[in-house]
Amino acid sequence: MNSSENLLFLDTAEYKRKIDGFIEMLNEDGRRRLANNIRRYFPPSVTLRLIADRLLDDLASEREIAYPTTIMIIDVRDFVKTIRSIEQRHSGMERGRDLLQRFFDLAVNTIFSYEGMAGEFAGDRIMAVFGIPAKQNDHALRAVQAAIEIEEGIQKRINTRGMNLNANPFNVGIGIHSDTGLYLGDVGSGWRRELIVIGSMVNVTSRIEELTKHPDVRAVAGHNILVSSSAAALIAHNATLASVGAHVIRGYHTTTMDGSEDIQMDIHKVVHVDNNGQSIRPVQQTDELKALVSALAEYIESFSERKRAQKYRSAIENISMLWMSGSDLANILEEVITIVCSLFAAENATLWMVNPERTHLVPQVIIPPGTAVLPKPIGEGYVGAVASSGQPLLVLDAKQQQDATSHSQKDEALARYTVRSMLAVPIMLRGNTVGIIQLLHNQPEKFTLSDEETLMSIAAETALVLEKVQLEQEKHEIQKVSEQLEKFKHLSSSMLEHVRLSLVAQSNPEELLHAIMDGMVAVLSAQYATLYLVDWVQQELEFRVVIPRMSAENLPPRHPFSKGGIAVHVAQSGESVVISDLDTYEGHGHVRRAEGYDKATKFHPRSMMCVPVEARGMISAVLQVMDPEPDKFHEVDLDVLKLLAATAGITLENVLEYRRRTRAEQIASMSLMAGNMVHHFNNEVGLIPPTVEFLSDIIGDWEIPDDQRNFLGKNLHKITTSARNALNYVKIIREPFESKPQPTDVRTAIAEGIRRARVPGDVQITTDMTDDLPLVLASPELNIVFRDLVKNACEAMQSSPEKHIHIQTLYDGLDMLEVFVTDTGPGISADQRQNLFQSYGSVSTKGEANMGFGLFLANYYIEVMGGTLSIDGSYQGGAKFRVTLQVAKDLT
Amino acid sequence: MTSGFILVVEDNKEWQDSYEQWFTLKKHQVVIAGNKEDALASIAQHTFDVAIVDINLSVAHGNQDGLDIVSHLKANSPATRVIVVSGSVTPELVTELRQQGLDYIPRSELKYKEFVTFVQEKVDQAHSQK
Repeated sequence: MNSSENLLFLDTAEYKRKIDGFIEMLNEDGRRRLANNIRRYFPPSVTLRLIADRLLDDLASEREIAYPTTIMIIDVRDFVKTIRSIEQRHSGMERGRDLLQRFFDLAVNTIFSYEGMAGEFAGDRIMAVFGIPAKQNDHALRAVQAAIEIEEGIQKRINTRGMNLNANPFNVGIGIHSDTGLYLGDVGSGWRRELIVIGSMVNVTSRIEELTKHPDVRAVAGHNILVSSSAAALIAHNATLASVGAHVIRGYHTTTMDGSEDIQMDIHKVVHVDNNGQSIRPVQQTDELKALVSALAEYIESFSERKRAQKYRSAIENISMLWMSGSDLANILEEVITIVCSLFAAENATLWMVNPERTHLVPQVIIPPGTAVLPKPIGEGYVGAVASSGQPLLVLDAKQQQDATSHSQKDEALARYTVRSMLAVPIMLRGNTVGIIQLLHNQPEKFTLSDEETLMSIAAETALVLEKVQLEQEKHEIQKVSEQLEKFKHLSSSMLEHVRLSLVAQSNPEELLHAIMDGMVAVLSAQYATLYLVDWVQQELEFRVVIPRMSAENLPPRHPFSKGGIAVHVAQSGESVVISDLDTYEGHGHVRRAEGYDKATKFHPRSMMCVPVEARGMISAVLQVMDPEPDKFHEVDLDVLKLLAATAGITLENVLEYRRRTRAEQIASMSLMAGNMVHHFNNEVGLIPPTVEFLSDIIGDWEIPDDQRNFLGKNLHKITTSARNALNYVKIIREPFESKPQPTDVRTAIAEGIRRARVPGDVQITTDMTDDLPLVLASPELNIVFRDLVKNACEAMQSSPEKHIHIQTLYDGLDMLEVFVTDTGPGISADQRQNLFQSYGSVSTKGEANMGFGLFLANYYIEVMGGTLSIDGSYQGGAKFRVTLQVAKDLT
Repeated sequence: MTSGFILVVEDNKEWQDSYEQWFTLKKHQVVIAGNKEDALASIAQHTFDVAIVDINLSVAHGNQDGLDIVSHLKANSPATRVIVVSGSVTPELVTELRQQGLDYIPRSELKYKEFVTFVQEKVDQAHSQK
C-alpha cells in the first residue's frame, strides 16, 4: 500500500478543484454542520476525502456498509479503581482527568494515523472502526497494528516517565472483530447529532474485548489484544497469533430450525505483527496534506467572515436596487442608512449631504431618528475632514485619539455621545464628495479596516443610486415637461388657430379682442375672462372686455390703482399670477368682497390666472382668466395664457401696423392716381377758360349784332364757368394730399364741422366727448368730414318727428379713436348702404359744399387720413356712422 | 409793344396751338418744342426772351424733363425769362420753383389776358436789359 492509494487528490490542480468544490458545497448549512461533525470522528485526510469526493451525503443518513470492516474496542482496565486511587492521593479530579485525556489523545491519534474512525467515547471506552467510510483492504491489519501501538504507547507514555501516579499500571483490553453488516449514519436531532456505528459486530467485538479479563486468556502470552477468528484469518500472513480457545460469544449466533443459537468462536491473542518489515501506517503527513488540512481549517475559520462578506454583498445588492423602488430620494437615503446601520451593528448612523453651495454637510438621515445633529462646515470635525479630503476615516478609539489630538479634527459630537468607534466614508459622484456615511459606536474598535472597505463599496453603490435617482427624477421631470409641452402645444395651437380665424373674421379691433377672449376661455375650459386696459395717466384699470360678454354700459367702473387687487399688482409688477382659490387667497391686497367685481359681473370665481399684456414695450393691458372651480389652473395653463397675452399684444400691434401700412400704401396710390388725374384734367379742361377768353377777345373785335354778341357771350361764359367748377372739383381731389396729416384735436374739428353744417334750429345736437381724448392724425379738412356727416343727418331727418344728432367719442387706449354720429332719421337701407360712399350715391346731394359728392368726399378725406368711415348696420332706429381715426401717438 | 422771341416747351398739341395763336397775334415770334431734345436744340441755336415750360413735360423720364430744361436755361441762357406752367405740381415743388426765382402758373388758374400781358412784361424786361 502506498500513500497515493489513500490520498488521490494531492495533485495541485486537483487540490484546487477540490477546495473550490468544498467551498461551494459548504455554502449549505446542513453540509457544513455535517462536515464539522465528521471532523470529530475521522482524521483530516479522511475528512478531506469525504468532502472532496462528495461522500458527505452518504453519511447524512444511516446506511449499511456492505463490505467487511473491522471494529476495535478499547477498554481501560479497572478505570474506576485507578481514578479513585489518584483522587485520594492527589486531592482532586485533575490528575485523573489529565490521565484520561492523555490516554484518549494517544488512542485517537493512533487510530487516526491508520485512518480509522474514532467514535463512541463512553467513559473509559473507545470504539474504532477501520474500513469506513472508504473501503480498506487491510482494515483488520490496521486495527491490530493500531491496537499494538496503543498498548505500547500506554506502556511508554503513561506507565513510565512518572505519569501514572497510581500504584497499579494503566492497562487496557482490546477486542478486534471483522465482519460485514455494519450500519453507519449521522443520526440525532437538530444540532445534537452524532455519527454512529451500529450492528451485531459491535456487540461481538465488545464481548471479545471483555474476554481479555478472563484469567485463562490473560494467562496466554502476548499482547492483551484478542481478535476474532474472522479477523485472525485476515491478518494470518502478517501476524503471529496464539489461540485462546473457542468461546461462546453472546450475540454471535447462527439461525436454526428452532430459532437462533449462540455458537462458539475461536479467539486468538496477538503475539507479534511482522508485516514483512514494512510499516503499514498508511498516512504520512506530507506537506501537501498539511497544506490541505491547513486550508480547510482556515476556510472553516474564515467561514463566518465569508458569511459576513456575503451579507455585505447582499446589502450592496439591496441598495443598488433601491432606485427602482420608485421611492423619493429621502426615503431611499433613509433605507440606505438603515441597511448600513444594521449591517455594521452601529449604534448611531448619519447620512450627511453636501449643500449646493458646498460649504456645509447637512444631516439628511439620522439613526436613531430624533437625534439632534447640526450642519457641519466642510473641513471641520471628522466628517468635515472626510468631505474635504474625499478619503475614508476610521477611528478605532476616539477617546485615545482625542486625548492625543487637539487639532481641528477633534469632534464635539463624538465627545458628546461618548462615542469610541467611528467610521466615515465619502459618497463620491463624478469625482466630487456629495455626502458622507458615518457610523458610530460607544465601544472601541467596533469597526475594522475590512468594514471600511465594505462601507466604501456601499458608499460607491449609494452614489450610483443617487445618480440613478437623479437621472430618474430628471427623466421624470423631462417627461413631465414633455407632457406639459405637448399640452401647451395643443392648447397654444388651438389658441393661435382661434386667433388666426378671429383675425380673418374680424377687422374691428374691438370685435377681435372679444373673439380672442372667447377662444381663450374655450381653450382653457374657463368660464370667465377680463381684459383690463391700463391707464397709466389716470392710474386706473379700465374694464374693456368681459367674458361672458357684457355690453359696454354694463361694464364695471374703472378700478383705481389705489384700491389694490391682483390685476393692479400684475399691471404694476409685470408678474404673472396663478391663484388656486380666491376664497382663501389674501395676497396682493385681494379681499373677497360682496361688492365690486363680483357684484358687477355676478361672477364668483375661485381659480384665477392673471398675466400682463405688453404692447409697444409697455404693459398696456392685463388679462385675467377665472373659473368657479378651485385649483383649476396650473403652470402649463399659465404658459398658454402668457403666450396668448404675447400673441394678443403682438397681434394687435401687427393688425394695427398692417392696417397702417396698407392704408399708407393705399394713400400713396391714391395720391399718385389723384395727381395724374388732376394733371390730365387740368391739361385738358384747363385750356377751356383761356381759350374762351381768347375767343371772347377776338369776337369783341367782330362787327356782329348785339343780340348775337350777347348770345355768344352768355354761352361762352357758361362754358368757362363749368370748366372752372370742374377744375375746382379736381382740386378737391388733390387737396387732401397737399398737406401731411398733423396731430389734430378731434373735438375742435367736430365743433367746426357742426358750425359749418349750419344745422337747422329744429335739430338738436348733443355730444359726449371726454376731456382726455388724445390728438388724432388728420389733415385740416377733418372738419369737412363732420360737416358732411352732420349735414347728411340733418337732411335725412327732415321728415322725422324727432330731430336729434348725437356725437360720441370712444378711445380704446390703444391706437384708434372712434367717433359715432347717430341720428334719429329713418336709417339707411341695405341698398343705400352699398353705394353710400360712392360719388353718386349720397342720400342727399343738396347743400352748399358737398357739391354732389355727398358722403363720398367725407369718406375720401377720412381714408386719406388713414381712418375709416363706416355705417353700423346693426343699429336700429336711425343711422349710426362710425369714424375711426389714428391716434397721433402712433407717429411717435 | 415789343415783339419778343418766345420758346414754348409743351407736349400737349392743343396747348401748343393755343400758345402759338395767342403770341403770334401779339406779334411775338414763337418756337414750339414738344420734348426735351427739341427744346435743348432750340436753346442751343437761339437766345429766347421768354421760355414757357411745361414742368410735367413727359412721364417718359419720370416727369423730370421740364425741370432739366429749366436748369439748362438757367445755366446756358440766363437772360431768358422762364415761366413754368403745369397741370399739377406738389406744394413742395411750387415752393422750390419760386425760391429759384421762377414764375409758376397752374393751368387750372391760367387766364388768357393776364397770361399774355404777363409774357409781354417779361419780353419787355428782357429787351430792356439787352
